[in-house]
Amino acid sequence: MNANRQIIHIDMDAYFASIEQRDVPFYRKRPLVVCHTDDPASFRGVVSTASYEARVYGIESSMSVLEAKVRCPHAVYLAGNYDKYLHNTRRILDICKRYSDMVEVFSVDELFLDATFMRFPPGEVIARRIQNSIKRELGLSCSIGVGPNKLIAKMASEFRKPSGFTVISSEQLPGIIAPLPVRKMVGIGRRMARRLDSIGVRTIGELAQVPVDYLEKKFGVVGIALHLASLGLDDSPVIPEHQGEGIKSFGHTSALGKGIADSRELKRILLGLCEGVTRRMRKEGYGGRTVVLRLCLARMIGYTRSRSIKEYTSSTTRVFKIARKLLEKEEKAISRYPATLIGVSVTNLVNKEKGYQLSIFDLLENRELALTKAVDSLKDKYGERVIVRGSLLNWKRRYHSIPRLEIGR
Amino acid sequence: MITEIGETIDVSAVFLGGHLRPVSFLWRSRKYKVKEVFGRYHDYLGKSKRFNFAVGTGSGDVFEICLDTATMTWELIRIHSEQ
Repeated sequence: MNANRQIIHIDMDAYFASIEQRDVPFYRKRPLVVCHTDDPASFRGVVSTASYEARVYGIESSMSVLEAKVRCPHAVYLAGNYDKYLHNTRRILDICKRYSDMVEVFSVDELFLDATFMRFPPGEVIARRIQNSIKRELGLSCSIGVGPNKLIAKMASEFRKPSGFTVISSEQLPGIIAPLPVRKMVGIGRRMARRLDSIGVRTIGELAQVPVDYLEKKFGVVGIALHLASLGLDDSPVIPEHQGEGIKSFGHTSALGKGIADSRELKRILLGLCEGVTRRMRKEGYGGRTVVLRLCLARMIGYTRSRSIKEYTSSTTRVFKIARKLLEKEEKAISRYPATLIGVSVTNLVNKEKGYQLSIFDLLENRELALTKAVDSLKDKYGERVIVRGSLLNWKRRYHSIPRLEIGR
Repeated sequence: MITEIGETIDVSAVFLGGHLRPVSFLWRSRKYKVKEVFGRYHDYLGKSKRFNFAVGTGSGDVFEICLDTATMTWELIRIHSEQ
């Protein structure tokens, strides 16, 4: 592990909302909420990003639009325009690449840059320049953290927001992070914080004092990761685009507002999700062996069910049949607790270039294969909405699915 | 208030410093002069690349317009109005 690493974390401030506020001047200084929905006038969907003005009313990401509208009915509610946000992310990436090729796009609004081997100008100066360029060229603000590894750099960027700039050196590390609550640690959610609280651990310093053996016994491999993180240790590398490990899964989810218990309706939504997932898989040339169904019931009980098959597939029908079976097994639970979120993803992937061939089942369904090919080529040429299944005619309008964001293109 | 329009418009534009910049547009027989470009991005509809702009005409409203390079037509997508 290199103790002298210098990692810069760039975290865009209220990213999607800031872009909308930049593009429409009278939205600035007003509460604005970007939603995962195609009808922001409705109460369906979830909050994607809230502007800082909207956060004053307690609106936060993942909250239902319904709840957000109760808290702040006079806010501006917009449907997310992800093409626009990705375009801005690509431009931020271009700015970062002026300084180093070692740039990792961590998510649509977060990037890491490894400045370890930059002696002149030093990492802090580069970070300042990046922050200024993003402001000047894109009209957007970001918070920057500089630290000896990705974990600390990310924590540093969250110290001061918006437009923050925080540098944490290895020497300052213990004094700064020890008194912080464990929730401030990257990867610790509400549930994990509760579990840690149950063993009397509330701060990062307290976590660092728990013997690693005990943590491992209680939390498995996560326990070891927790121990290292509490000491501020992290040797994960910055992985630039060209060295990425490739796509690990394709998934779509859909928030269902107050919840749906009707299994016929859920299956229809599931078909739409499977279509979206497999279409992207075919476009990228991937086949997968494991289908994962994700459910959240009554906004509280979230879990996944999966099934693996022997052959790789990207057939909508095949993936849907597996996902449908998984869903049918949950019907009893859903009848008691309506599903408030449903998602499907395909993992265990292999790329066509690495020898992925269609399964015998796909080949036997010759007519469907030909139809899929024809439909895909129509969509490639004219866009995704040019042709849809009859059973999904109103689907997009009612349930907006959220694909994984891709930076390429 | 957001008003969805989705109508074809005539646009005068210039190429400036390697960028396309709309100068004025004609919508429902009225000419609007573009005073400011607040935001721009491109996306794809199938194989067609589209250039999108959020422009101000000095009236306070913001117009979202888009050039579809497959058909070489401009569209007024929506208007954001303050009231």
